[in-house]
Amino acid sequence: MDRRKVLSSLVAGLSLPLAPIELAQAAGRSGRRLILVELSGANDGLNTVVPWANDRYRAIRPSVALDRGDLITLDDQLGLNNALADLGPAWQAGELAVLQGLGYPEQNRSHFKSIALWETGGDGNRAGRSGWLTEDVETMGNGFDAHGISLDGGMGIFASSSGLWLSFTSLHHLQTLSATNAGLGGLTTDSANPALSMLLDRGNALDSAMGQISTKIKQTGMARHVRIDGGELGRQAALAATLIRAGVDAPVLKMKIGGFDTHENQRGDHERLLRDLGRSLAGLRAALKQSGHWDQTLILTYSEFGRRATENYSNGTDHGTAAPHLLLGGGVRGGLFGRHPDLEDLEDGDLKYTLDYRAVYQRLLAGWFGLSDNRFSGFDDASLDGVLI
Amino acid sequence: MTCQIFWRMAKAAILGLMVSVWPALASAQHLQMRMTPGDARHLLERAGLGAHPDEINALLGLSRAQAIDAMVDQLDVSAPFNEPPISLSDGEHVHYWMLNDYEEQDRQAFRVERDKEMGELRRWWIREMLSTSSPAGERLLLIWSNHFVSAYGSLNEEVHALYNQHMMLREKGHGRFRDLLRAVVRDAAMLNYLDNNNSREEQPNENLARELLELFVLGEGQYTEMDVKEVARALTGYSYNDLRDFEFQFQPWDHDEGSKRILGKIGRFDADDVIDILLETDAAAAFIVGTFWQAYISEFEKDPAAIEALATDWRKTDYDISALVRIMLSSEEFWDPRYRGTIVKSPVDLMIGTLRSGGRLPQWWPTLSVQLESLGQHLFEAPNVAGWPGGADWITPARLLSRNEALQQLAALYDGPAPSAASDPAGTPDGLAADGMMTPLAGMPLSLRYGAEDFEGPPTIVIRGYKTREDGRDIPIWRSEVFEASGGIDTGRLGRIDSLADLNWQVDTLVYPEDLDPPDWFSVGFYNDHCCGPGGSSGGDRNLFIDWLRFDDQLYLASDGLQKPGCRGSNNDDPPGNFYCSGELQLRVAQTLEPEPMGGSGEDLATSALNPDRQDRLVIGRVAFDWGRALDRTRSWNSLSISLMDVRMNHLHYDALRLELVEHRRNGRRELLLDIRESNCRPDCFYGQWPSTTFKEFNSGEKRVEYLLWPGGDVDQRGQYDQLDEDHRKLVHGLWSAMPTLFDTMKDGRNWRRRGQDRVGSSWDPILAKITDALPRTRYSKELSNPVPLIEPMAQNSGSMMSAMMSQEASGAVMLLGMPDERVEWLGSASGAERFEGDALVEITLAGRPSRPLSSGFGFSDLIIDPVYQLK
Repeated sequence: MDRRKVLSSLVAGLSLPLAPIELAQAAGRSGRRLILVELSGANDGLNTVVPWANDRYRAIRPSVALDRGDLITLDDQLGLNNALADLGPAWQAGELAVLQGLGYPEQNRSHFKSIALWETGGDGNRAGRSGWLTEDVETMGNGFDAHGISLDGGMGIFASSSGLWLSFTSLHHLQTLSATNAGLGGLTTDSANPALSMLLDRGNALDSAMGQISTKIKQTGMARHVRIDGGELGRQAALAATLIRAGVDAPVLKMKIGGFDTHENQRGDHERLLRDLGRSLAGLRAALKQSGHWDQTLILTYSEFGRRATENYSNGTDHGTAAPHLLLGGGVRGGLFGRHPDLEDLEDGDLKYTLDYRAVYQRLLAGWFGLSDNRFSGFDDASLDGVLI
Repeated sequence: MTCQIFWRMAKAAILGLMVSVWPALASAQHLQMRMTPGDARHLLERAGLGAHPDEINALLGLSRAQAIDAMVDQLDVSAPFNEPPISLSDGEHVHYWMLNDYEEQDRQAFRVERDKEMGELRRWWIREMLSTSSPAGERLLLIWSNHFVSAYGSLNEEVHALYNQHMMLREKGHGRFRDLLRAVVRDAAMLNYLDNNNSREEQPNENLARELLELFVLGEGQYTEMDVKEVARALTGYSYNDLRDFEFQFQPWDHDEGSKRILGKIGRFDADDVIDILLETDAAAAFIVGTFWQAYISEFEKDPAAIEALATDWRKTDYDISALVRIMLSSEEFWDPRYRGTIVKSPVDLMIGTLRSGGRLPQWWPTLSVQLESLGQHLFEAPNVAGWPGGADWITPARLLSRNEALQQLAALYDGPAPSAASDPAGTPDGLAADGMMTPLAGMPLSLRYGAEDFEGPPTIVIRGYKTREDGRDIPIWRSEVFEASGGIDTGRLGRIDSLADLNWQVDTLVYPEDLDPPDWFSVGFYNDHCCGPGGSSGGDRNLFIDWLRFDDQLYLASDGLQKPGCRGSNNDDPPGNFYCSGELQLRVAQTLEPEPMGGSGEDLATSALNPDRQDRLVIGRVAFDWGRALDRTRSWNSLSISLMDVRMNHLHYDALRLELVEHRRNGRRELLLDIRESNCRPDCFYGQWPSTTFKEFNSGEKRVEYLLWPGGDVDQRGQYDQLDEDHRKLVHGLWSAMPTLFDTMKDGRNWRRRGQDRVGSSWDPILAKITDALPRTRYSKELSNPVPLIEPMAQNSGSMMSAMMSQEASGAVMLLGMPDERVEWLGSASGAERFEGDALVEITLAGRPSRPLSSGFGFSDLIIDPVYQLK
């Protein structure tokens, strides 16, 4: 164990779990990455993955329901909102999994509180503290350019007192930060004061990380920077693709698309958002396939909650409960996973969740990163068997 | 205010000598040592905020015990130094309780108003920390605010509740910990933040219970999951009243009266019992001392034995918090060299501490809230209930970059000349000279309140005046100079702001020529939109936000304006006035500003007396469905409640009134009555003059009265009517008579569509018909000039009105360290801070030896960029 690790474990006030490091570092070397896509505002799951064959669906949503013609058929019950048509090829290639009915006990309906729960792995009875994957990903060691990079500026999901979690929203921003940082590193760190040691140590680590990332970006040259349609999310997806193709080694990237709080006149707004989502993810897929990074990439969408099953009186939907999410990547076995919530068994107009979202976290940490002994080991659920190849 | 820190310190020191409350502590040998400059810096930075040379000088020569006395003497910050934001402190009612009935657009406008108030609260606290001569009290407040966290983002915009909480912590933060806890479990913002306001016997919510055990009193490992569940039961029914002023409300119908078993004790416990049980443990004192250890002694080293000993001392004081601060500061560990420099300066330490240490405020001080946010400490927005972890968390890689940038900015500041006296940007119109004298203006003042996001330069603004001719054509008659927005947030450096609340609002005053006719309306133009930093608007964006324009006692609210083009936020649903791209805002609708203070009933009184249309007639601002079920005659009790806003009858004015219409079977007969309860009136029902026969709920003590439509009621109920004054009788008459109108009106609202339509439908229509039929035969039909109420919404946007009123009064120079800013000595290199140079300057600036070699003639600014400066 090197001194830095000793220090960071000292400072975190907790001892780092040491046992799984060897295993985890093996996974780290595999170059796998997870890209998290936050659908901010609470995506309407029922109009994303649509139970078109169910009469009850149209009955509770007389004005916002989608017709079969508005859908890409997934099976004899469900269809994907046509606005996600750009993801059609991924579905046909068996690289898109739909994880159904995600939620948690004691649903909280505040945007802020509930997204904080998803970010930290909490539920309605217990808020989390640090980002849901920070602790476990940090056990994968320090051999990365960064443990994670937020491309939207949000750091809630990376909340951690240790580790190398960065945030920059553009290459320009990265350059500005690197320039500011000049001179931060390079100081000797053998102080008897643990606080000072950590400060200097982190300055050095940061200095070298920023240097490495900048160098990699510079070496690729502007001509190879990716462009992806899809508005602000497309821009973030392009930045993600550029970083990955430049060889920037970070196991987690995070992006965000906002505007899903569709209380009023939902259909047009929601379709525009899903179109941006579909285009961005499809563009990212194409870029990473081309560069040969796709098989090492996993993309997961998440959102604070779903929306109410019954529509409101403004042609929209209010804050609800369970929702499906999308998992795609070269290492995904496509298809439907879990169980769609029963529209005949609503709880005061809301869907009952059928799968604790933390079961997905467990699969990603265990199945993708090889961190089988992780924070969410207790949440494993057999309905996700086979979702990762 | 004449709080003179030095005098107070000296006085405290003398008192401390004569009457030492802590003979045992004071006699400890290390406390008799004389304060060195390094000791003084250490004490001031740890127990206060920053360390200015004058503050250091005031402590030199004292014994440590005397210096500690001086700090402990400052712990009471219940009387703020600057006036709190008037929109939060003046008691004017904000109708949170009606919010659900607002249509989406109005709700959005409501939220924007609250967000602005949140920004004011945040800036006020920052100003308080800069201004105060009691930094030790502000330090303690920072500790408690991070111990009892409630983050604005999770409070459904209930900024008034958060303000109450902040003031409660100022009030109780230095008293007894037990009293503080009792206030916390009754605090509306906390009850909301931790979801206890919806915790019912059938379904207790465990959040507050869990945090009470884990984060507030005991710490992890000191209780079982079963204890959490049992404490949650004890806390059921602890809620608050948003119809009134967010005061605590115990709801007995939701409270679990049963026996609970908590930490081995059994009984029918409520929250106060729980607090007593927790404070009987040994763990409580040790846990809180551990928290204070991190704040005062070290974030990086713990000494469990020392903490145990300090906790034992504290328990002897029955959890007196001031005593705890004294115990911490008097400990050997506090002064031990090995713990010095082992706390990472928080962003507040770094920014506010440095500005206090260096003396004088830069012009950009009002943007401090955004600077703190970029460093990770957005005040009132802690990341979660555990608060900011501090220590290593302040220096995560992402934050280290921002800190470095901020420190370079501070270094540059102290490398330059002393800034001129800082002023309050939002309070001083341009027409006023620095000494407060009005410079002669050739014309009428015209003021504009705005906030700016800068990117490679500020927005520019131009104002035009128009006349509208009889044929309807608009003719421009005046155009202002093009002027630059001031006080903008530099988005290229700090990123975009999260919420408009953090804009640095400015009021600029221009002159409208006196030889011109006043215009009929105005437009405000913004034409130099500029975006973006490479990679999108988050890399920088130039935007302009207009709040209002004021001219000739007319107030033009931007939200009442028309914006072209309408790019107002991502969903284009921001109110008019938010320019995310170039455009023009037309301001045609104005309100007249009354010289009277807001919220007074004087004008209402005058109008109602003068206007025969309102004499003896019920006037209501807004009606909404509140709650109810379908009428079911098989039940003995049916009720439906209706919310009324701004209810007026002659000289009476209720901001809020909730009625319950009750259909009730008693003694084989069906009664129909109006139920009015204590918790459902603001101000107090009957202005506090309850009839002597008022009922009291047996389990909550809540007062209530009943007005029966038929039959006449029993002796008590008759008394509840007979003892009313004339206007209140007429109010009851008015309410009964208004019932058909109330039903019709409430059905237009969102609450009815969402919650009433399906659940209640037309089931109460027969009752309504009965009311209409029976009313003429009852006493309630008498004495009214018109039984049909007048539904008349009152003007909203009171916050903007308020800021417009306030902008007339120029406020003076900003205070720093308890005195006018310009009188505080400047520590920058350009001035002669001669008393501390060389090693002495290092000693009062750094908590250890510098990690870089210093060039000769170094100054404060050179020390700021040394890594050691980030520690204290």
